[in-house]
Amino acid sequence: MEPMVEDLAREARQFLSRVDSSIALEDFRIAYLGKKSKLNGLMEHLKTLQGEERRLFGIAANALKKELEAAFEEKKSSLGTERPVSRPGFDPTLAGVRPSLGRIHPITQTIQEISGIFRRLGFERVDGPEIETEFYNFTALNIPLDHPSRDGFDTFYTSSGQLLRSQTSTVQIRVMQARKPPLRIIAPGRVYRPDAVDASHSFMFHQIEGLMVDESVTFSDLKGILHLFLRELFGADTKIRFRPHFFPFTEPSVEVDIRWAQKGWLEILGAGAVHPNVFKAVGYDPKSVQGFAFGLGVERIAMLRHGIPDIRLFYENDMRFLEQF
Amino acid sequence: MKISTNWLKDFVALAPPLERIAERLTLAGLEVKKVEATPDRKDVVFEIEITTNRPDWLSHLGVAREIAAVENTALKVPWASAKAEASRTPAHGWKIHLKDQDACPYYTGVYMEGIDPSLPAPDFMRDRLTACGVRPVSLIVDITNYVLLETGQPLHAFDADLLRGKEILVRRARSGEKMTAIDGKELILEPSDLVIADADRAVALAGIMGGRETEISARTRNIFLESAFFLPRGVRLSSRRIGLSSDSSYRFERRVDPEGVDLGRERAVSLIQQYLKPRFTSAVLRAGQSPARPVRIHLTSGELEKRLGVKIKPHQIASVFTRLGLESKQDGAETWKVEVPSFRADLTEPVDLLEEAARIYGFEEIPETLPARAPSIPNEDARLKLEDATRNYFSGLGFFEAVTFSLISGRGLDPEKDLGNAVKVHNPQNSELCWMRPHLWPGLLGVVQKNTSFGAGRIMFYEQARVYRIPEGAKQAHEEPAIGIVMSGKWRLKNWLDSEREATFHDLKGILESYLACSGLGGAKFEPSPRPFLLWPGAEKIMIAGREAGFLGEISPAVLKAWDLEDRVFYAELFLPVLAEAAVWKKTFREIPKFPAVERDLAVVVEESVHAGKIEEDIRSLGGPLLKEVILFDLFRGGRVPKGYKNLAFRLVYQSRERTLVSADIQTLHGEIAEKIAALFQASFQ
Repeated sequence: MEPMVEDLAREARQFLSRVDSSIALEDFRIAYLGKKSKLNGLMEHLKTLQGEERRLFGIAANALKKELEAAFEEKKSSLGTERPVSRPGFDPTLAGVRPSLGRIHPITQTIQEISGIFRRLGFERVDGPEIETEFYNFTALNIPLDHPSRDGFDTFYTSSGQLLRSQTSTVQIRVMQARKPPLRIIAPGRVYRPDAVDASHSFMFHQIEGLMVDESVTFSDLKGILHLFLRELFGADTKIRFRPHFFPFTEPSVEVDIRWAQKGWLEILGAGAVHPNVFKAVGYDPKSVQGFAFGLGVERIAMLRHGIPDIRLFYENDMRFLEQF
Repeated sequence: MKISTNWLKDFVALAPPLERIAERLTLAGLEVKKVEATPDRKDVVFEIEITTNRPDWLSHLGVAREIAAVENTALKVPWASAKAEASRTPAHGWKIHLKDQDACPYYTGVYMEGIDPSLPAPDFMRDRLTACGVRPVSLIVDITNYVLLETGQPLHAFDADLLRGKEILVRRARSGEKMTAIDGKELILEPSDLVIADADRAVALAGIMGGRETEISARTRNIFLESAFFLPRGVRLSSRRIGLSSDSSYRFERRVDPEGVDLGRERAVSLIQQYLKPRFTSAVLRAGQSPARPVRIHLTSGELEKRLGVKIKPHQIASVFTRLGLESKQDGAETWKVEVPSFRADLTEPVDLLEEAARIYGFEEIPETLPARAPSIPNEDARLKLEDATRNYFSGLGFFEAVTFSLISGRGLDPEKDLGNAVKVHNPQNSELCWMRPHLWPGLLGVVQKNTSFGAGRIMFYEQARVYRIPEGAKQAHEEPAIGIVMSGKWRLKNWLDSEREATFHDLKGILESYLACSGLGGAKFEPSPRPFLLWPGAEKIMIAGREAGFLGEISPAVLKAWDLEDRVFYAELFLPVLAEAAVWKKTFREIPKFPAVERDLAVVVEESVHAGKIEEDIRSLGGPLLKEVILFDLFRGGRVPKGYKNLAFRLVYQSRERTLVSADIQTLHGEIAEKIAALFQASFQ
């Protein structure tokens, strides 16, 4: 058959196979059988041909015309039997009856998202006790007694002679005591500090601690991993900067800022190379292992990502708040 | 702290713009929070925030030193060579008795006579103090403040005529000794406090604040100027115990530069001589000696590269050390021997130098790499996995996850049964919230209350968090992850298809049964078990393989009353560790029955006191292997059912794995079950 005719035949058959309503069938008629149809275009073309070529083209075009007319009729009759069923009382505009879905709290969602990123990087999720001892919260973390570096970690003390952990870094110590390197862990959890409650402070909040230890992990790896993480969390074009800082349990220590439209640079997490004294406290040889740790505040990140203006909203558990996430 | 840039210019050139310098400082770890012009526009002030390891930044000289390091420019101290007119004249009989060299290794003083207190502070001094937020008071005090802000060395000037006995004692306070501080605060001292005293009494709390009785006034003519080194720990302890702090104690407790004692005193004496024109300046009285000791640290460039992940060229390392004022020598090609000046007491170990090298070289210059390690699959903790699954289950069912405080008040809790072994917080932020919760329901009742208050009709929440207690006979607290589930109000709200229905105990129980079944714990048993806060009878515990895995019930009216709640509240708590140990993740396939089931109903009328669960249990045991399922599908009272009785309608599902059952197969069995049940429970058939 003539290629031009062949092409049109294929196109038309395909079109027709998708026709499922009389409106669509009318579209088909106009496109392939009407006065300005593609089939008429073929007939116009026929006039420009001569001799044997013209004869063969004519046969093919006419055959197609018959085929399409027959197919059109057949489709028409098949659609014609489709009478709209009378459904008195059925009103599709009545509201859908929605099942009541609950929500996972935005703090948990944020933890799950962050932990999820690190789990994809091979970090294991762990957790540890919230009621802790001086050793895990301070001593092992190289925070000496009666030292101003404790000021940032004001602490609740309990009737059991213990304290409420003021940071999730305690989990680092517990995991290192229990296991040998290499380690890649991520530890989300609640922490407590006797801060006055206001729009951005609470005496209880959530942190996520990360730790990686082996014989060769470097400060440059810390930069690489954290940048990768922040791009994953905040978007590929997130701008970040690493600013030297001081934490007793890491050295060099760094605070990471992200560039946030309108607000400028915002501190987003603290990190650093694990301090040799911390390794000593857990019985690792600081000469043969090295690593990095980081810690971030969950509420702060959730507030930033969702535009939540007041930290207290998280703990009020108003359904009108929760159902937004 | 506020830093005047005009003042900085005494020590270091500031190549404009100042914002650029501020940013460089921030990126070197000395955070400049704000750059702001003074109201008279004559000066620009840096608002800095220091980290606790860098008390040397608490002065203009210290900040200038850091600028010189990051900008790689020279530091000059114009007055360092212009020493005060050294006096050799002894101090007219004044003596220092240093009684506690552990707390104060070095104490110095100068006695000056015949000052003119009416002389005003020079303009530059007034301007600079004002720019730094210090109100000019009187010239002597202004000079001590000025030197503090300039060098970081706290000084104190006494009115010498008000000191008794020409004696300065540095000693422990007597128990109960009293002193009025300059700010008017009455202090009652203890032997743990170090004081400066005259022959009779304490006249200053060492390193923290002077006393009112010997303070400088308009009548002051003769002064005793103190410059000393107090050990950080003692100053901190006294300052915290008494609740008194000052610019001076802030610096001492972070450690001042021991060499600043002489430097600061000389600078002050020179300013006093210049502006207060004393008639007489004594020789320096000294007691003890400066604790400045040379510190040498070795660092190898191999170590540096191995830890930082970047190779810094030897000449760059040398430059960093020089810029920081550290004397370094390269021993061979690899090792650096670094001598640390007294103002950098934070540098004691190789890792400290490594940080300095990285910081001044620039964190931004260190490449970003990814750790090279063979891939490994992290472990998955069974409990954490169960926590995720549980959240999905309950949230999918319409429960909202709550996050409430772990610290609660005792509201609604039994002081003995609930709080008897609870963990108490000694120093709570809010005096009411002082208990580490032994159960999750108090927090969740707060959530019910909150949502009821705005008219929510259907309140279903869960919280996954720890509960805490001190186990019998134990000293330390025990904490356990748990899930609290609360339901109140409607189970179903009215819509155009369905009517509304109140939530019930059995809704909650059914939810738990399904939850347990899908965790592979279908064998869990519910057994009656009272709790002080649950309505009894009606409370149950959940037993899995002989261990208690949780409980459920209805919150008692007394507790509801304590929480001002009117609607009934149903509550369950599940103990995650028990569930996590028992949960079955790897389930084994059982063949789906090939042959159809046959259903037969069994409706019995029994006395109200008969438990439906007991009948169901007996039907099951009577039914044997052919009985697959027993479903209570109806319960009614009234009508033809006599008062005090109820009608229970069970559907019994019979099914065989081998063949299609016909009516005849089960007729006998079903009849037998019905008869036996009737006999066992004095039941009649409706």
